[in-house]
Amino acid sequence: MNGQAQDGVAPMVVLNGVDLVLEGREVLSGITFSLAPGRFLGLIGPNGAGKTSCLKVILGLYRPTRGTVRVLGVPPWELGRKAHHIGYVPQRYLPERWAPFSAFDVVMMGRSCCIGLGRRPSRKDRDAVNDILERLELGGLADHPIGSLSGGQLQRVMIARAMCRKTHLLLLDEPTEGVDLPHQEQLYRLLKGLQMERGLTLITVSHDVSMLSGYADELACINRTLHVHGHPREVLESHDLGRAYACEFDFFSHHRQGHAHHAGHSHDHEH
Amino acid sequence: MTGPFDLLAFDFMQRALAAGLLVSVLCSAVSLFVLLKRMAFAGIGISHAALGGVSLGLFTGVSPLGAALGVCVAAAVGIGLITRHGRMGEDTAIGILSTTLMALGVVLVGLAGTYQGELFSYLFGNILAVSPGQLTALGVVAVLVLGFLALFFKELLFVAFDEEVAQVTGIPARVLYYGLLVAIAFTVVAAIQVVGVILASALLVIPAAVGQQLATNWRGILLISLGTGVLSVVAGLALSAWWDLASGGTIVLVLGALFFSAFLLSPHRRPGS
Repeated sequence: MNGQAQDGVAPMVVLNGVDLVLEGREVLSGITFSLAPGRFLGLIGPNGAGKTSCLKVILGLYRPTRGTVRVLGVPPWELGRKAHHIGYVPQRYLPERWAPFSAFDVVMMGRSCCIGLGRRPSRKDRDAVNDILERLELGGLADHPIGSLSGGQLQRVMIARAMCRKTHLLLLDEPTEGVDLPHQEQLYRLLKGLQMERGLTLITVSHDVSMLSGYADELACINRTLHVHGHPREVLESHDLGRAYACEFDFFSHHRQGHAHHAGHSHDHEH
Repeated sequence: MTGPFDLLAFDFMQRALAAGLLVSVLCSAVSLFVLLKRMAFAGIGISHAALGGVSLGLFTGVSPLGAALGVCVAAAVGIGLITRHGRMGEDTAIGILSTTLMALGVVLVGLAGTYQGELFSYLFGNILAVSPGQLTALGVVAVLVLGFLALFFKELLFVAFDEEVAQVTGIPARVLYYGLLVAIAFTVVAAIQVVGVILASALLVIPAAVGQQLATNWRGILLISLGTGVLSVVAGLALSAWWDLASGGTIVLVLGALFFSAFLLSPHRRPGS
């Protein structure tokens, strides 16, 4: 695809031939894909397949051993002030029970990068935090200590922290871990809503394909290499998926029947 | 009978009180971040490394506190570097660096063998001997460290809570982590003048821990931490003058008493514990 997504729109994220070696072990090999603005990508694969590492390459936390990565047109470690446009919700974060921060405090942290050195949050900052708390159905919990929240509430606070500024790209690592089933649906519904309202680009890592495939516009299956990338229905029906998951193939045969129902654009395959 | 307030007529006592107040405010503010970033062991390690610095200063004839500052900053940066780039946890890095630098101190003291008395005052602190020059130096250290904390306050809170996400949003998390370690090194050297090498870390660890027992929010913890630090220094100084006790030890005993009182009164203790 040479860095250009469909319709000539500059892609939000481009990975080109990315290899990543961590402590002598090849974690990613020849990963190539791009993501157009406003799309919702589900990054799937078995446990230990390199999904989180791939996310961290996009975030600039790991530098590729070989290949290139571009986010908003530049390598992620050269984003500078543009880094404000990237939101990140890491793998399930369990704050200490005593962590002395309210939900409001934690979301306000997400604005520290735009407030300015030595400055206190202004009314505009407080309004922005209250607005995103309301949008994520957390308005009544603003003053609650972060350690007292449930798994689902905590994840929504972390999403609010990533979305309280002009975020164009949101990356989430296993956002439904530790969240009970009804609240998993709520979480994905909120993410889909944010995507639609704000033209947000989303990349969500999950080893659980069944629910994600109902909300993502495209799925990419990684197990060290990129096995298959495309519309959720195509991916779930692909034999490459079975190869990526190896022994877990039966699980996917079973799930092919009902879950890939979301209508979205199909995306070019890289393989 | 001469009470502690009568002693305030003396210059040395006024300087002691001023030094104590400066150091307590400085330590209590740093203490919040020591608590949030779980750096208590780093504080203890850096303060023990100061023994190497003090001995080096006495042995070579340079200012013992100046040498201690150099060694403590080196230890702080070393802890950061080994933790980030070595294959070990922060606690192991601290254990190695602090004991090695203490060993250097022990060897240097044994080699010279003449200045045990002076060393004793650095080990246990001698707040009543603070000179006008040392008071000025303390003021400079306080302005530097408190200025750093004030300038990067919200960024440091973010880094203390979630370093990786702070870094991703463009906050120089790694630089701030090293900045915090160096701030601890400066604060330790300031605290040595009040309570000595052995007890310096108490002033870094206990004030915010008292706040943690009584408050649920960092703002409350910071306020209680400041109150605890100031109260312990003033009360410890007064009690030590009154009963002729070692000032450093008395200050830390007051701190300990405040902590256990707060622990017993804490509304956050787990039921049944």
